[in-house]
Amino acid sequence: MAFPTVEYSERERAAGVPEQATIDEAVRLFEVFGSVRLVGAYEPAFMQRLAEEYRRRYRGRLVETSKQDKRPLFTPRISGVFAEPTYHSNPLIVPFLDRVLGKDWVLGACGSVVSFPGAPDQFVHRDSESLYDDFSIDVRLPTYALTMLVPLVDADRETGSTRVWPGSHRVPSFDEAREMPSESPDVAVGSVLVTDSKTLHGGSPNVSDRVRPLVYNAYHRHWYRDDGGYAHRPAVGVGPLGHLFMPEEQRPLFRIARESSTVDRVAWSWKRMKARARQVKALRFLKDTLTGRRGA
Amino acid sequence: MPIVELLGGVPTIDLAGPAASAPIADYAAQASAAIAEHGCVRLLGAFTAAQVATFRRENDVKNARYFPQAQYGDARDQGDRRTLITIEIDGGYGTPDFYANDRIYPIAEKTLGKDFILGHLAVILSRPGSEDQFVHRDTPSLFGDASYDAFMPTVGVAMVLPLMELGQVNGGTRVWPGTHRVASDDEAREMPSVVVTLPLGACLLFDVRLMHGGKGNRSDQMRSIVYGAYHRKWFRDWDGFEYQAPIGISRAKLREVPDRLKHLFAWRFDRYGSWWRRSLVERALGYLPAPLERSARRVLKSD
Repeated sequence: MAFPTVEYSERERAAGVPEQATIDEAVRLFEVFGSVRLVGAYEPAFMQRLAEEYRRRYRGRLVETSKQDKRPLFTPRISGVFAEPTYHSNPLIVPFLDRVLGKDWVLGACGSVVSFPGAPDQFVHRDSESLYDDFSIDVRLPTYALTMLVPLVDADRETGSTRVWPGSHRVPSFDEAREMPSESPDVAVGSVLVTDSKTLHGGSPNVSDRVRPLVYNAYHRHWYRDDGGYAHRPAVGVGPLGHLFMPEEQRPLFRIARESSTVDRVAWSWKRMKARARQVKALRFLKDTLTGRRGA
Repeated sequence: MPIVELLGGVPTIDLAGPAASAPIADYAAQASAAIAEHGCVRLLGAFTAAQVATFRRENDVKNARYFPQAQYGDARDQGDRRTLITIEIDGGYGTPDFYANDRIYPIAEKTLGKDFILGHLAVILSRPGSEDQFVHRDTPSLFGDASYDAFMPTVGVAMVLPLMELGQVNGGTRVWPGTHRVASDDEAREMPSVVVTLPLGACLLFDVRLMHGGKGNRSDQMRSIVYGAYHRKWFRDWDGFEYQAPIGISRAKLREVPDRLKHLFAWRFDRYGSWWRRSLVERALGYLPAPLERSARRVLKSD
């Protein structure tokens, strides 16, 4: 079976707007298989800038690792090209996310996985725990979180693509889902692999002599928050202050950064100061009027 | 032994009755089952009169400035003559007896699973003459399709704790029992409703999907109620809290919270302070020549 795939046409890529039929097909495949490969989602020029900035920033992380599984994970800072809407809110992908997650989706995680030569199979897993400790409920629900993998070098049999168990998002038992057929689709630079958080998957071994970095974005429904795996690093590399100085239209997407008392306290103090200033002004006006300094 | 009885149409547990001697697991299971079936449960004697008096004293001192109708940075209007003020976890409100009451915590844990969180905690002031609140559910539909919400287990349990006796004159809370399982709002509103009155020290716990609305205050006294919600660990309700903190807690106070209860404040956690400091070091490492950077990274175990 060919892996569920949708390819953006030249016209869609040039216009930066997907056609309704493309989105319909992507959503349909995603709902049926719990995963879809979107070919040509990012322009080559953008991918080149992303990869260049990534390599410049994290060159030290690409040389060696002390991790036994040779798959270190880390959180990139949301700045530079990572802060560009083209990266986190790609106009070719946003209509798909709107359909799958509802309008108010948020960025739940933005990270990077580097697979070093010799990295073995990653353990097979789902990205989310069951909401109610009972997957028989979860599999009846629409998607509440999904992960988009963006490889920075071609992910193939050599460098290790992601092995996916299509349809496993509708199977409550992990063991049963594991018995289903799996596929390891090649994902070229510029394409992305999107998987439902309930779909079984795991990285394939890197049998090449090259390092394979990839970045990933997890998109969540606005009410969903997943702390799993983020005990020692933030899920999204932006802090409360960074959030405060973001363009206003981007703040809801990075709302997770506001989950901090500090930013609220700053915002409260500011609002209180403004309210107090208004009161003082009003009192001064009243006093001036009563003492005849104004309006006489 | 059954400890829940229907009083005036409201499932009620009298904590001075047989519930006092019931094993805690049995107590929590029965209360949680009542919430699952009816959507709410009233706990008589959950707090002592002395505790409520402390909460009220602090409320009257801290919130006196909000008594006149106005707009503030940490408070918002909840409709006619009502103001919702975030509670600062401090003083009388800063003890586990308040935010993790030993008669409420086990019910929340049984209903919401381990590591549940405090979703919000506030005082609602209703001035004399306030009208009936609009009828509503506390959480929006999770998937934009209420038929899913109707069969899913609940995501949260709300708590109403009045700081004075809540009767017909100063206004109880009207609830529509069973509506947490009804997808259609219109159908739910057609179901029978009941006004829950609460003596001093009693509180009402209800499923956040339950149709309800506060009654108007027809007395000549300010009415203050503590209004909070416990949520599942993965649920965040931002509705109304974009510009107001759902919970007020300082870092110093957070450190005083017992470890076993820290999960309650999970969404106000500044857990990553060390990560941010480390990321600054990381930036500095980027300016070093490559061999020096590798050595420094090995020393710092930063990979």
